[in-house]
Amino acid sequence: MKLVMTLLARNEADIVDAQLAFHLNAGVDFVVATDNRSEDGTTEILESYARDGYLHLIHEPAEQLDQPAWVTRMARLAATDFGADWVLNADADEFWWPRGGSLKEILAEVPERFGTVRALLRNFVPQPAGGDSFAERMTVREVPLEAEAPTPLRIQDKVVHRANAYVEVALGNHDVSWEGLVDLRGWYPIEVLHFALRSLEQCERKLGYWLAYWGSQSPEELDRQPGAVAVREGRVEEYYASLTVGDDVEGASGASFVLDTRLRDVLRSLQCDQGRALGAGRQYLLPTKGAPAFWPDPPSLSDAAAYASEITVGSARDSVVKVEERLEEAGRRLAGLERGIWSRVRARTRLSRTLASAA
Amino acid sequence: MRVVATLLARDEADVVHAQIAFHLAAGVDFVVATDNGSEDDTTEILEDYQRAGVLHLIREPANDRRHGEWFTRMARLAATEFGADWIVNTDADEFWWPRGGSLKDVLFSVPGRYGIVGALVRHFPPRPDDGAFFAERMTVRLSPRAAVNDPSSSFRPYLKMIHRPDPGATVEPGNHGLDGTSLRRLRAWYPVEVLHFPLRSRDQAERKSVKWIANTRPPTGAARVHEGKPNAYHERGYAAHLEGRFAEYYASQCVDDDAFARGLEEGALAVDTRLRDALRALGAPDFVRSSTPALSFPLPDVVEEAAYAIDVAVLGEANLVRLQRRLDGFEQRLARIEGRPTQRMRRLIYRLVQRR
Repeated sequence: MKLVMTLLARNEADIVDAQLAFHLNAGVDFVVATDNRSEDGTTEILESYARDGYLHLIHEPAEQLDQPAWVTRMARLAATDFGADWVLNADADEFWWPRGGSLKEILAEVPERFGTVRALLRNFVPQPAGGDSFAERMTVREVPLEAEAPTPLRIQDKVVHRANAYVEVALGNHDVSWEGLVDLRGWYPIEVLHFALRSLEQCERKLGYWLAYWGSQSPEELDRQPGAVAVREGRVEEYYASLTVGDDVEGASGASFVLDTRLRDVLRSLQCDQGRALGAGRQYLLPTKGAPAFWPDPPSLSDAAAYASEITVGSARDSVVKVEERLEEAGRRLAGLERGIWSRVRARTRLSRTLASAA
Repeated sequence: MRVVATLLARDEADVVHAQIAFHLAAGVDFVVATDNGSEDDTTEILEDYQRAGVLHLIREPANDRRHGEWFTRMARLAATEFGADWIVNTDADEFWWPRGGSLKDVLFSVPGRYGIVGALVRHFPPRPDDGAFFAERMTVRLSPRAAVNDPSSSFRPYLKMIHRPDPGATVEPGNHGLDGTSLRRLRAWYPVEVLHFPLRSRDQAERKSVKWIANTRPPTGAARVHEGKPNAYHERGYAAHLEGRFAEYYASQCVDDDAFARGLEEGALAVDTRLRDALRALGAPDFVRSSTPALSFPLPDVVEEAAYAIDVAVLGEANLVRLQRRLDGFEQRLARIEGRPTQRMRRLIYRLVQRR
C-alpha cells in the first residue's frame, strides 16, 4: 500500500519541517506539496525534501488563495502520477496521529467498498511566544464541551480517502467526493493534532490570509469570526493574548483543557544530533524506507471514552443524528395525540400499580 | 461504583444459570430478576441465586407481556433499593461482553455528563442440536457485511442501552432505549457487545414461539403471520407448530456445516468462541465452583477495532432505513388522526372562519 500526503503551505517555516518528518515517520510514503508564495524559508525546506526524493513540489504563484482547487490538483496527481492507494490532505499545522497502530495498519483494515475514513480535529491552544519551538510550548489541548453552531471554520471532521483521479476536495479538506463514493462514518481512528496559531506574528499573518480569502467569499461569515474582526480592527495582540492559556488550565466557558505532550515527545525522539548536515535548517531524522518509526499504543478505556465524548459533541452536527432526535420527539407527541386523555390516565394508573406491586 | 443487571426470564433453564454466573464474573454486582411464570427449572435457579444474596426475585405471573413495565419496575428498584450507579437491562439469552477490563471498568470510564451508553447486539444463529451445552455448539456469529433490513428477522442489527438511574424514565419494550429520559447518550462508542443466543434448541425454540403467541391470542386454528412486523419470527414459528412442521422450520433456521463453510467464505459468518471459553473458565455447564472467579476482558487491538467499526457502520446504514420506516409510520398515524371526525369538524370550522 502506498500512502501519499498532500500539503499546502504558505510561510510555515516554523512548523513544516516537523510536519513532514512526523508524517514520513508515521507511515506516509510520499508527499505532494504546493508552495504558495512563501518568503520565510518554507520553500527551501520543501526543496530539500524534494531533493531527497520524499516530495514533489508545485510552485503556485497565484495571489488569491484557492485551497480547494490546489488541494484537488494535488490529490489527483497523487492518484495519477504517484501511485497512491490512499491520500491524506494535510495543512502544515496538522499532525495526523493514528490511534493504536500506524496510519497504514489502520487503512489496511478498511473494506474495499468504503472510500473514506474519518479523522477528528483536536485543537491546541496558543501559548505566549518564547524561544522554544511550537511543540515545546503548545502542550495544552482544548476539549470542546458544548456543540456550537457549525461554521465553515469550525468543523471537526477530516478525511483520508482512497486515491481517485476524479476526486474533488472540499474547502478545509473536511470532505471529499466522487461518483459512487461510500463514506465509512462513525469511526475516527485518526486524530489530527492541530496547531493553528503559534505566535503573535504568525497569527497576524494567518488571519490576514483568512481576511483576504473570506472577504472575497463570504463577508457575513467573516463577521462571525472574532479573529478576523480583531485583525480588521487592529486588535490582534489583544485577541492572541485572550486565546492563550497559562499553566493554569482551568476550563473557560464552553471548553476545558488537558495537558497533551504526545507530539512534543515524538518530535523530541526524532530530533537528530547537532552537527548532522541535513540542509535548509532541517532538524529531524527520517525512517529507513517503509518502516514507520512511530507506533502509538492502543488507547486505554478512559482515553477511548473521553475521545467518544468529544465526537459526541461534534456529532450533534451530524444530520442523521439530528433527524433521529427530531423523530423521537415527534413520536412522543404523536403518541400523546393518539391516546387521548382517558387512555393516558389509564396507562399512567396501570404503570403505577405495576411499580407499586414490586414491594 | 455499583452495576446492577435486571433480568427478565421465562422458561430459560438451559441458559439462565450461565447468564447470571457470567455477568457476576464480568463486573455486575447484583441482579434484579423477574420470573414471568416459568414452568421449567428457571424459578429454582433464580431462587438459588437469591439465597446466595446476589439476586432479588420478583414473581410476575401475568400473561400480557408488559415487558417495558416490568423492566421499568426492575430498573427503578435497582436504583432505589440496590444502589445502582449503572443499570444493564438484560434478557436471559444475552451476554453483555465488555470490550476491555470489565463492565465496571468500561462504565467507570464514561464521563459524568453522559448517562446512556450503547451496546452492539451480536447474533449467534442456531447450530444443529446434538444435545450439548448451547455455548459449546453455538460458536458462529453473524457478521453484518450488509444491512439486514428485514424488521421481522430476529437477526437484524440493533443497539441496546446501558443507563444510569433516572426516576422519570421508562424502559422501552425490547430495551432499545429509555422513554422520557433526561440522560444524555454517549455516541460513537459502543464499548459493550451483547452476545445474543435467541434460538438454542428445537424444544426451546418451539416452546418460545408457542408461548409468545398463545399468550395473547386464543388458539383458533390457523395462525396469521404478520410479515414485516417485529417478532414475526415468533408468528412464523407458531404457524409451523400448528401445522406440525416445527422441526422442519427449525432446521431451516439452523446453520448446518455446509452453510457454515459457505458463510465463512462469503464473510457472512465469523467464528466466535469467546463466550464458550469464558463459560468454560467459569466451570460450565454445571458452574459448580463455590465462588465465581472474575473474568478479564482484553482491550481490542487496532485490527479488531477496525472490524468492529465496520460492523457499527453497517448498523448506521440500517438506522437510516429504520428512520425512513419510522417516518412512514408516523405519516400513516398522522393521517389517521387527521381523519377523526373531531379533526375534520375543526378543519371545516377553520375554513369557514377563514372565508369570512
